Amino acid sequence: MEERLEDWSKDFYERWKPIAMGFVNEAEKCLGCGKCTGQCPAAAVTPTYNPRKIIRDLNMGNIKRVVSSIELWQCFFCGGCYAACPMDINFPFFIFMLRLAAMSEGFGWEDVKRMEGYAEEEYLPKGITVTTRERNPYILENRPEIKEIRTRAGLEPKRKVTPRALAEINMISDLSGMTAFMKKIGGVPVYDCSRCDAEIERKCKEKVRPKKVGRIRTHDRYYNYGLPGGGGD
Amino acid sequence: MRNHYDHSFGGRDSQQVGDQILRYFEELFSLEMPLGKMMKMMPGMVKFALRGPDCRRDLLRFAPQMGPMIAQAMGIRGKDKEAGG
Repeated sequence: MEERLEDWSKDFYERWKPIAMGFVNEAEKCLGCGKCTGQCPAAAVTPTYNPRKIIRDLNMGNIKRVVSSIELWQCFFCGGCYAACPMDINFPFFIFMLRLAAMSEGFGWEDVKRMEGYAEEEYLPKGITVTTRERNPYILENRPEIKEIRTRAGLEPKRKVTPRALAEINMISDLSGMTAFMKKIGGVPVYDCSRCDAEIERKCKEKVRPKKVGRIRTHDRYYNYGLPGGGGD
Repeated sequence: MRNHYDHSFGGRDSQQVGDQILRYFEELFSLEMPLGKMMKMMPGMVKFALRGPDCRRDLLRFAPQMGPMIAQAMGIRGKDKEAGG
């Protein structure tokens, strides 16, 4: 890997901290112990995803490597790294903020675009953040004990969002500009897993990257932290 | 990797990319509320208010906070503020 040290922005993190309103804090305390990576379920499936290395690059100002990486988009915010960190570094916040930074530089829009379908079909009309069709469409049919546990807890067998909560979700989305923004970038169709065939599977896995989002020209991302199958940093 | 960088960042170094990102965050976290941004919020608030009386009551509870923001966005300043600067 060819990289030049003088190319890095050494004071980036220190300058970012006061602007980021407390979302990025204490990365400088990182011991490099790797507990975050050791317990990370995303790192278990994508060996090149390594929170420790991302913190190191942020501290050292290797910004280009972080924001243009595919690895930045592997986290699914389980929060295990935060729980495991001996220095209490809230790494999921870092990921959140770094993704915004990446988006401002034109990276990751193919993933953001995919979210539009969920927002339009599941989140805004039903208030459901995890789509019941794709993640585990048959959960209630295959795991009847979930129904039973929910009923015993005094809940509906299937999760229901109250009209009031739905109104709040929609207002927050409107006020934050998410609704308008999602319409602007457009989405990709959300497919029904119960009717999946080879063609739908192909379309489902295809990631469409918009060429431009507003004034931002988008770019491809790369495995900047090693080979996808593991090894080769 | 260098080829990727050159292609994606157009020859800018991390310092320049970092500066650009910081400018983006300064704008994103700015507490200033331009009129255009305020106007975009209005349909959301109206939709919420139309949902029912309890929604309207909740919205009105935020009126003291929203008032000065709307005034600032529209360029209306109080006499004391004008006198102060």
